[in-house]
Amino acid sequence: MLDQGKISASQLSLLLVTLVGSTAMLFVPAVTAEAAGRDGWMSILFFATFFGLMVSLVCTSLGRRFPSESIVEYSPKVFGAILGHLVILTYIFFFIWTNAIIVGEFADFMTATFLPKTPRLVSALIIVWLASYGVRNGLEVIGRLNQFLFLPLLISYLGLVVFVAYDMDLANLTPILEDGIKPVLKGSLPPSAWRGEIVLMLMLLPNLNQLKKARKASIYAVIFLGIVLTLNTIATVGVFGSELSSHLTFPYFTLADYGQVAVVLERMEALVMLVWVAGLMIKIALFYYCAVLALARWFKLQDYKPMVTPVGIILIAWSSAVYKNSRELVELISKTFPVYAFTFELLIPALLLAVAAVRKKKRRSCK
Amino acid sequence: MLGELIIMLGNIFKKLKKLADGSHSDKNNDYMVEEIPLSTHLTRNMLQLKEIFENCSDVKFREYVISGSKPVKAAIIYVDGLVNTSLISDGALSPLMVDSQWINEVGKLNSYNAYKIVKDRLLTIGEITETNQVNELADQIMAGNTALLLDGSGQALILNAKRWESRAVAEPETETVVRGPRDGFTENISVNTAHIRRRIRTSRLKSEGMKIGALTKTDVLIMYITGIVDDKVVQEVRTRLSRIDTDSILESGYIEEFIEDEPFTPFAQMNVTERPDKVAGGLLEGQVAILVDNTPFVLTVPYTFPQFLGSPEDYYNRYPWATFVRLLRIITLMIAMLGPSVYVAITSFHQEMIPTSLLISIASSREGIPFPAFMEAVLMEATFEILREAGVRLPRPVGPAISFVGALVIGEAAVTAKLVSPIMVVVVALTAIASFTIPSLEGSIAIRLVRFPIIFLAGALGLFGVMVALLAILIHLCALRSFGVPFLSPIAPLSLRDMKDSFVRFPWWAMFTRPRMNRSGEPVRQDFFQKPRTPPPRKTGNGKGGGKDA
Repeated sequence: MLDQGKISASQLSLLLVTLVGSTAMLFVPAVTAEAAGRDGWMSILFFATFFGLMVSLVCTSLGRRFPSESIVEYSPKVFGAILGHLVILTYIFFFIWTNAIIVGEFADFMTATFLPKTPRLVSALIIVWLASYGVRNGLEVIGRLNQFLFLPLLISYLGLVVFVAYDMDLANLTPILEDGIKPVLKGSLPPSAWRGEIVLMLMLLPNLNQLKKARKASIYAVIFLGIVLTLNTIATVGVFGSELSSHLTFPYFTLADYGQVAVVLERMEALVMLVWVAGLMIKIALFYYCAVLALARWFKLQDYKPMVTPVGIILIAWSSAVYKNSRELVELISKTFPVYAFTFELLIPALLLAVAAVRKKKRRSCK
Repeated sequence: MLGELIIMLGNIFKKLKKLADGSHSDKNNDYMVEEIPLSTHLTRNMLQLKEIFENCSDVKFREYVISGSKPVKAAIIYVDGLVNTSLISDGALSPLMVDSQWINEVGKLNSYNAYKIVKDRLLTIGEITETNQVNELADQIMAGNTALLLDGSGQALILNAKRWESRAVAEPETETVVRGPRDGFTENISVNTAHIRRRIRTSRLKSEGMKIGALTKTDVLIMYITGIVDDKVVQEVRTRLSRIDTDSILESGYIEEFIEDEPFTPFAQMNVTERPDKVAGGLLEGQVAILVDNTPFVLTVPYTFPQFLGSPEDYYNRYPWATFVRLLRIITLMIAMLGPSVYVAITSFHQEMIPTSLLISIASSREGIPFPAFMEAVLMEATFEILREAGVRLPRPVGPAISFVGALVIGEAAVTAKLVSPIMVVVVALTAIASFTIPSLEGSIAIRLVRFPIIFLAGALGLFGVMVALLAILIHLCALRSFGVPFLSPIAPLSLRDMKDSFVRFPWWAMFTRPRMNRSGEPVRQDFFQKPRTPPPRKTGNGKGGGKDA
């Protein structure tokens, strides 16, 4: 084992929630509203959750079939040497590429809202440094950190919905299914891609101390996310209407701007931003960790820490080149990313599982 | 060029290594030869000891004669000031010189049986041990024991008649309480163990002694309660302590830095206290205490976040109040750590968060101030730390002068001279007061230390900088362990059962289990159903229900 740290099932569950929630809260309402209009909440509640459940079932089945092994170990066993190693390579690409997009999103967000005069690179550098500090300390520490921060994260997600409840007009959500089910299905693509990020379990499961509870934990996380994200979308569309929601880059953040706590703190967005930075840092750290661990396992290193800095440098460099402007980013996450996401989150793991089942590959020492 | 440099570095390293090896072999030997047995001739032994204690004017030699059929020569050796001389004269001099004439064996006492008769029938001192090694004898004399040598015997008697001047038991100055015992540890380790023993009167309370330090030979004791403590922790404490190889231990701080889990951190991983009740409470929850001679500060491990925020008083006061105080301390912890940095961040980056009227008053108070808020904060915080340090360092009579000058200069003159804004003074004062509400000394030091980098980050990046600093500290704290127990437990990793004694304090009848994080061998502390019940109302003479029972 490269990383000796162990996480519990509940820690895994909370990690998965933060993993998906921290960026999904920010972007999902807009991209869903763009395709599905006022019915976006249905895309999230039903179809994306279904997709998430599929991913979680496939990943945990693979985890059970190959206990204490990650995709890096069992992919060559199942697919054979050449194809197996190719799959690993593409997964490492997927982890770093997705992470580069996230870091880019974060840097853009900081430039757009809080640090307009600071170079984009500085924010990227800082967040990647923080994440690398977490990665160096291992999954156990990331899990604990997430546990510590989960309550503030949850309060900032759900508290906002409560604060804007007065301004919400649920009439904005009617008529339901005016254009039939098709836009809803189309709108469910981006949120599904997000929900499928729990595919990181392929790398995390070896560090789980009770493998049996993995499925339950991930399913809880998926369902919980479904509820929170739906509430979030309903609040956004309820306040701004579907038209405006789809044009806002960060509707959730605008919502925070909108909400008011008594008179003492007039603009909550700074506080919401702070908590969001924490959640995002954990998300980046998780992707980062998976990339580093996959590399270290692939190269059969004794220690994964030498990989942390190189991956971090690639991450920072790529984050400034992965897209050009925020419009392109929206295109990327609503059109391009889902294609990659479906391939890596469901297609390949499902294929792995199917082939492994057919070839009856199991770990020898599996009691 | 580079090659030369490498060779040079290599040579320096070699020299250092040689130096370390050399000093190593020197410091472990006080005496030239390791093992010398005692001779049967008193004069030879005396010569040897006098050679060892050459130029040690505080070591006293007293030679005398035991009366018997054949007078036997004897000698006692002790260090002046470490020994109760009246006890020695009553217990070791007078019986041997005077009373020995009256016992039955008076006719038989000679240099062959003197040792046994003296030990069994004449000495009236409680604790006696024996040795036949010169080195050990010298060590014992240095430790404050008295050596009794008899002619014709290769054994020496070591009499425990230690007594030296020490401070009386007083109220601990670093941890004061309103309700609770007022006794504190002293510099005398046997007084300290007695403090704990008086509180926990069970034979299961064990104390294992060892000596650390080649020259100081400081007594170090490990105390724990078998069954309650996790044996692995005790074993770990033992191994880590036995690994220490140094010449001196003058305070428990030396030991702390030798045995902690993570050396590069401002946060302590061991609880430091001078309160016996706190140590006893810790032992009863499965902790291990490390007592060091010559210091009132006792270490307890494992150390976790609840102890960071807890004062022993929390357990004596009523639980709603204790809970309130603990929540208050969390707020003061945040103020102490983040107060100035949040002020700097908000006033220089996020003015929109401040309500307009407050913003106007801040702006007007800052009018004419030459420095940005960040500089102001650093200046004031530094000034406060200087004042605090001066207050500690100054002789007692001068102390009030400093506080007077400090209050006048900082509070009034700096504001009038338009060096700092009055609001900044308020923020810094609040921060200072808040940092003193953290009960553990080490905790408040760590918080005050991390405050400065946070101010810098706040000045550079605003609230984002504050968050970055907070996250870095949190990652660090999540990774921190105290003898294997995560520092942030029971919050992360979460243990709902241990939460009963963390941010809140449950009433005593509800805390029926010991903290799980200490992996106690006996997790249950007390019976579950102990909630006091209101007794049924007393039946009066004409009670209605009375008839039914019959």
